[in-house]
Amino acid sequence: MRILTVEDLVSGYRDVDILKGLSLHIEEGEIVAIIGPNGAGKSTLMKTVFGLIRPRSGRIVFRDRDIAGLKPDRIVRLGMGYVPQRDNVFPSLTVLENLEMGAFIIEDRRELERSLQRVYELLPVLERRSRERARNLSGGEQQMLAIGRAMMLEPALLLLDEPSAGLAPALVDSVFDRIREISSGGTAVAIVEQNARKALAMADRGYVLDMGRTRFEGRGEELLDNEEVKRLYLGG
Amino acid sequence: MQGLLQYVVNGLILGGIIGLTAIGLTLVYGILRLANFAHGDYLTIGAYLAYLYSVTLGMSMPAAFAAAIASSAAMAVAIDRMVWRPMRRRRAGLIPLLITSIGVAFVLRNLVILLWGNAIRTYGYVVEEGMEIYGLRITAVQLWILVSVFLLMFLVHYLLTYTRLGKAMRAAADNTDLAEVSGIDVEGVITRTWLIAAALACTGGIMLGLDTHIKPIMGWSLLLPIFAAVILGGIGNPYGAIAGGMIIGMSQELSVIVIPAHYKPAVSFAIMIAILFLRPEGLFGRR
Repeated sequence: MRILTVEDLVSGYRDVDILKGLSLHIEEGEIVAIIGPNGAGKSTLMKTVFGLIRPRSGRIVFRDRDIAGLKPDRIVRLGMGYVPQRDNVFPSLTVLENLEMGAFIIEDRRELERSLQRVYELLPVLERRSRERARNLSGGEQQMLAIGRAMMLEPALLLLDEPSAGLAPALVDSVFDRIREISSGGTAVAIVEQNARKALAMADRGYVLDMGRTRFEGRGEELLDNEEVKRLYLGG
Repeated sequence: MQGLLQYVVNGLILGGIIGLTAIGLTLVYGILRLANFAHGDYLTIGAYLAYLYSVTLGMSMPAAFAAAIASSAAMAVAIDRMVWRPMRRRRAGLIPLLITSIGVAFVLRNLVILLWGNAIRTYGYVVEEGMEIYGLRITAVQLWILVSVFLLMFLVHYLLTYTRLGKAMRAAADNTDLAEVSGIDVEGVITRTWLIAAALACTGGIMLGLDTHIKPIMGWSLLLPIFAAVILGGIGNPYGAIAGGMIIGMSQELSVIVIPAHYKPAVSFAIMIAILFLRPEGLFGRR
């Protein structure tokens, strides 16, 4: 079952098109890695899918519904979560408050409590630091918090924009472990990564973007073995 | 000694009015990045609406004040729909927003002059002698102002710290995009922020009108101390605005001990310049 289908997507900022007719899809429960050089349109794709940028044309279908042009707070309600690359926590709010904001649409206190427990189980560091303001967390902890916030509503699809950016190698592994765990819980994951080899190794499938279009598509290990992909995008 | 205490009481009242109004200014800035130069005139409109309801229409004071607060809040939302929201959609920057707000300020002030004229007015209640508490003279109205200021400040604190709306307001002030991505209806939060900001400004205007008198320039002349309070407390920080308001109000009132009274307004100017030089992020801001 397809959970997300993107067709001929054209999107960008002001007069500049970054995505020039991009197509891809994501199946339920799978991990899809999206890699490509800087400026290929990876972050623009995420922002457009999540409604932060209005697409100029093309279709974005999430669970049988065209969501192109919908605002982010509507898209959250449909069961999609998004972890931006930068500024992905509320610095002046506590860890607990950050998580509460992730579940803003839940008004029932008990339901909120259950979501909290579930996220604390997935990311125990957050429970230990729940009263701390987010700005006082380390980079790795902030990344965990950003993921935790997006997981509060148990989304069917989670978009992750460069979750390993700026993290020490040991922390990168721990973040990737959490992503695997999230995926095994049934959430489909689309992950944009600079760390292309690691991402493809973890992913069921991958896409290589270049110049705003899909250049290659295939199973993770297929792309890792592809000579052209290696030469052009994985540094030989 | 009692003279000094009297200045302190006056300072608390002025500081409370400034602080209350500054909360709205700083909340709006935090979420919209709008340094609203019309905020003082929101206060003026509020004071005149209370005059309209109580004196012109003869409603009882509490009913008139409640009606004025509700009307001011509605007006702020109407202005948002007509002016600020269209600019927001176009992602207008700090300077266009600021200049527009000066325009809105002119429109509002001249609207007041057009409707009520330039004359100084009062709410027309009988000025009492004031009661003596340990040699301190304080009128019932002043006591009411002091109690209301602290009550309202506590309410704002409670709202921001413990309620869903308050947390969403703080989240939107931290990062609007992330707030939307989290599922917060940011437009709804903005509307509520205007309601609160205008209600507080109107309350400040009524208090100022009760303590002194009402005139079309009242809000505009208070804008500088209000901005000074906001900057002093760290722009965007509501607790800073309360503290800043108290410090500014107190310094203005206490300054008459050492300098002539008509230099009072210069004090907030001096404090604002000093803080911009020494600690531009404000007393409670972060570098």
